Amino acid sequence: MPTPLRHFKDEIQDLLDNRLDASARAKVERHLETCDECRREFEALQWTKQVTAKRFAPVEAPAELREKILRALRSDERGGDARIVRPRFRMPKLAPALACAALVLIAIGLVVVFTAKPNAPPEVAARDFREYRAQKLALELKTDDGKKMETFFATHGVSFNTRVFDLGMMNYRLIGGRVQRVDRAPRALFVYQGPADQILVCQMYAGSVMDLPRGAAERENNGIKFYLYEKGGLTMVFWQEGTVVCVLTSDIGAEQVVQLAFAKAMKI
Amino acid sequence: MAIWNVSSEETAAARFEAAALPFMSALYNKASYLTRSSEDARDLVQETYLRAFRTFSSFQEGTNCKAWLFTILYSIFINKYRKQQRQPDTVSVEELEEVFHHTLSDSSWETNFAALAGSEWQGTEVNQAIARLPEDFRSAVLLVDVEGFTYEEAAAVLNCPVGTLRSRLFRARRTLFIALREYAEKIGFFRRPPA
Repeated sequence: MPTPLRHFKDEIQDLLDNRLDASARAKVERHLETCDECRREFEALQWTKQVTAKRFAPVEAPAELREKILRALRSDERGGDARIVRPRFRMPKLAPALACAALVLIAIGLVVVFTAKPNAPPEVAARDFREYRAQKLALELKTDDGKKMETFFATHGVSFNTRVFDLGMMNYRLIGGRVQRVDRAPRALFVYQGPADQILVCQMYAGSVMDLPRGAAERENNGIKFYLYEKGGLTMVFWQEGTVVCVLTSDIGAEQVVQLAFAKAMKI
Repeated sequence: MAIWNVSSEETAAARFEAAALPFMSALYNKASYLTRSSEDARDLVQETYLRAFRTFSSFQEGTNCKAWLFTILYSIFINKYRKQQRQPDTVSVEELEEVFHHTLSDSSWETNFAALAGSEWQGTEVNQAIARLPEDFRSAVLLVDVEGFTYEEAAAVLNCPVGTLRSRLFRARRTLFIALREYAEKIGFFRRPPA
């Protein structure tokens, strides 16, 4: 049996994980050029690493687990049915530094109170999404037919034209909607369900994206501007369609929500 | 982070959710491999989040939130689940390493790995390949190759020296290769060329 295989066995994996400095790397690479066995070992392990990364990649956690955890976190926060009960506001060890930080946060908070009202559009969208997910927001019409949904809105006080998208291409199915009132102004709210029970809530209301609060990440696609907010695991993506503002809200990850918005806003 | 984010009364909760919730699928995946039960995996992930939330003030912003969550998950698992768990039949890493070196020193084997997709294989044998690794080895390979942790981060999660992590990772990969290769052979790859 030749020995070089054993000789370099660990360095081969260091190379694979990019953990060698330049000179050690050059030495191992030179060896691989001349030693068939080590090269085969390197290729075998490289292949194993790639297959492992893809084959055992995480699948989406169950949607109801996400909801359960959010509920638990929120009841924990309120000191609810937590199993380990601890005072929530312990005196921190770094009291002085934290006190300063707290003052700064309060100051920022005060500034923000004047700029972001509780009915700021991203707040509203996030709240409605959470309420729907917590089953506190009933759908007034359950349908997978976009046209029926639009007719429902038109006959239930929504004065602007709604456009209930077909997201079938993206594997999202309309499940229904309701007329939602914010400051008494009606808005169309409709809900889609994704292939793994993901929830996507769309809202349309008469207004302007100019009234959105500061701090949005801006994206552009096909000449349409999108305003992106992330908060508490939720992503809200706003854009303007004529006199109507559209917003998609979900917890499926910012990029996915953005892609869904891109796909639909293109079809105007 | 947008200034708008601090406007709400639930600032701490919102910050925690924004930082921690994106890793739920990764944690659930790890918990499933650890507990081998979807129910235990759910409980383990939930407990991880609750404990993480309660100690969020000790979490340094800017450090690796994912590694922090995995550390909590793993420590709960060790303290609570591992004792009561039925130990599955694990493979002998030593034996498979022998096979590994033997296989690769046999130059008549086809080793065109580029032609093997692998990642799309549906067989449960592929799952068994990783499920039957001893837990320390499986964790090493999942943390580094699947979750992309550095050796140092993975060692911190598993509470072991970096050298130990490295050695387990290397041996786990050799073992996995043999298991994956056996499956590949079964579905028609790696035919021994006619003599």
